[in-house]
Amino acid sequence: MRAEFAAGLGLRIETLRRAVQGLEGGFRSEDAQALYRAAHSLTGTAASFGAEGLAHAAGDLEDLARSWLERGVSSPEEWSAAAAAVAELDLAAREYRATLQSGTARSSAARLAVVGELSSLIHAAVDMREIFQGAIQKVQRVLDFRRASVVLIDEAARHYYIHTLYDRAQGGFVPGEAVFPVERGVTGEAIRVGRPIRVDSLAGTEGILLQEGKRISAMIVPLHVGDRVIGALNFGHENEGHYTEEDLDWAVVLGRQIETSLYYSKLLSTIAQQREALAREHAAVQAQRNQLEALIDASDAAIMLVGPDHRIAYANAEMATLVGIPREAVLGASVESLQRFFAGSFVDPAALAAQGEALDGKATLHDRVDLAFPRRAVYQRVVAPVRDRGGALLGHIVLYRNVTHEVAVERAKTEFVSVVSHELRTPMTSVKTSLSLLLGGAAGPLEAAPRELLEIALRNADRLIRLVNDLLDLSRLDAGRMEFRLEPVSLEDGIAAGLETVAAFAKEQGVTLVPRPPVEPQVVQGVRDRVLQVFVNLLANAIKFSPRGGQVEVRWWREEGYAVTEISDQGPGIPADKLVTIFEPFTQLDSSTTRQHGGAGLGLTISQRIVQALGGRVWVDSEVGSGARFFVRLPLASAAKP
Amino acid sequence: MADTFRALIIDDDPDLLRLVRWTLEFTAGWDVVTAGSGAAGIELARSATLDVILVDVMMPEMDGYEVCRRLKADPATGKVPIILLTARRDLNQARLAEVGVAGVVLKPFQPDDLARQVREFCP
Repeated sequence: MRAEFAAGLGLRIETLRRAVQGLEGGFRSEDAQALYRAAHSLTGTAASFGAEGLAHAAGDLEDLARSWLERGVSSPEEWSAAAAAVAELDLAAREYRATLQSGTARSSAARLAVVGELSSLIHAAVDMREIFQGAIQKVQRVLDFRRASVVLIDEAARHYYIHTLYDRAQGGFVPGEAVFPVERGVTGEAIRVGRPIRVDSLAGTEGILLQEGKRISAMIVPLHVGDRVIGALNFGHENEGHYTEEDLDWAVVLGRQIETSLYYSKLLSTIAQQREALAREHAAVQAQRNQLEALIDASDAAIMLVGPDHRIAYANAEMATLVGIPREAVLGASVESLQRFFAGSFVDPAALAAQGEALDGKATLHDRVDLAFPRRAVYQRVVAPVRDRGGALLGHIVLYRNVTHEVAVERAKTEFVSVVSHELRTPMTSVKTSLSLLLGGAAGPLEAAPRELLEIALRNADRLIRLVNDLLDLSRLDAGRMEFRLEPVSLEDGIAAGLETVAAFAKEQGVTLVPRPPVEPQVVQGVRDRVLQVFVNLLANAIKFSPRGGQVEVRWWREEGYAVTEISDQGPGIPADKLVTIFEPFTQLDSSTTRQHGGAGLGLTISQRIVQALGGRVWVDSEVGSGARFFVRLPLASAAKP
Repeated sequence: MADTFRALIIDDDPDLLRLVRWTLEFTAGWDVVTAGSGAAGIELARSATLDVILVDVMMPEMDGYEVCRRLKADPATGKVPIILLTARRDLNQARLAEVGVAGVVLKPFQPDDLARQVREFCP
């Protein structure tokens, strides 16, 4: 009974295949009914013979056919599901026949043992070559072949190549490098249609199988992973008609085992790859860490990194010297214990508290402290939070740099400039006063020529005085020694005073000053004299570069917590490459403008530094030929102190 | 001339001393006396009736702060407003307040504006 059922399976499946193919052309009720009947009958019979695989696949087809009959339509997705179920039936039939038949050259028991061994390969092997070689070696015990091979197809599925090749005549596995088009040959066909093929008589030109000039026999079983054919398992024998249908059934079973192990090996190799990637990442992080530590060690500053657990994650030798304990003791120590060591070092005990607060907080501490230990010195101190890319706190960096020498040099430089400026100013005062008195008629009325000469002398004395003043201002701004006592400053008053200061200069240059005040008066946070200095500098600059008969416009307005003042002229404009450098000291567009326009080129630098110190910004917008627009942004008094 | 403004100038630079005097006399018609040192200035201040005293800051022997402190401490001169004349820009504000300075005029000053600047600091 079973044998009859097994023998008739081919026909039944063929009937189902035809019915499915018919339905793919368009829905016809007769086809669907034929399919339903055949599937229904097969489901029942297969179940009664214990052929579960067959019953399951036939059941799927039955369900599909019933649904088509009920609805009167079928969709392309359903056609491919039906085709897959038919393919599944093919395989299940082979398996069923393989388990049914016995008493042939190879015992079923031996074959089942091989199947069992193959499945244990799943757990052991991670590499495809290992799986293929292991499988071929085991299969030798149950199948005769001259050559066995596994071929794999390339990504584009156009070609297949020999991955593993066993040749008994050559005594084992041999390298096989050849590549063949999927379009051609029996192996190609098996891969294309996705079904196993047995050939009893084949010209021995098929490269993978045999190269002898006679006819041979072969079996090709396509290998699937997921829903994709990835290659094929091939067996070749030097005699024609060597393989039976049962042999092919076994080959299919073996193919399925290989498929399963491949599936797992892919999973395993994915996991292995991930593990390798993690290891590589870890190595990269470690290398980065080593570089960072080398950098910290090479610094002459004392540096330590405090972790989020308040322990010292890293400290260089300088830091150990500063703290006064061995480096080994610093590493891993708690911040609290280190703070105790620091406590005795500060000249001003308040410096310790500031450091403790900074280590607990999120704000950066950046100051200078006097230390009595390990040497009497001034240190630049930085305590800054370290954050990850997402902004989460990773700890703090603590840095001490001995700046005693820098402080002394700074002090000496400032003192020098201050003294020199003073020494220059005193005689300049006498020169200027003498010239002024003469011009004012203190020594009697003047003829035109002496008057003109005195005017030239006075004008240049004034220029010299401005230069000295500017140099001193710049030196003090550089040293951070200019005092800024912030106060509310009326922008209207500051601009009016600025306009008044430059009014005479504008008249002399034939330039009209045009203030355009906003409706509401603005009050900024600043220092009145310094704000005035900025406006005078920018206005004088605008007048200086204006053509005779030109206009200098001043407008100002409120903008998000700031007041912005714009001073625009109708001068020659500034080339794009000079827009940034004009704020650097002693920069004018070229030496000829220096002669023509006077000034040492310090006004813009000083203005920018002052505004920056007041918490604002100065910038310029200009194009050659269309004048320049200078902007001054200062914080509003109301914004600074609510 | 009871309403003529009277000023004393104390400066160790004789050129400047003369020029400041001329400036104030010429531009404002003040009555100006001068002293070439702190000690001479204090001496002169005691015996004269003054509306304002202008003192240079950097002088040998006795600097402007000390002169100011002594003048303020002396009941004979303590009420006269004192203006410091200086070329320095980094004056210690606290110290200025401590010695009782009425105001500071920076050198170099604008000669035709000097008298006005000084008057502005006087009550």
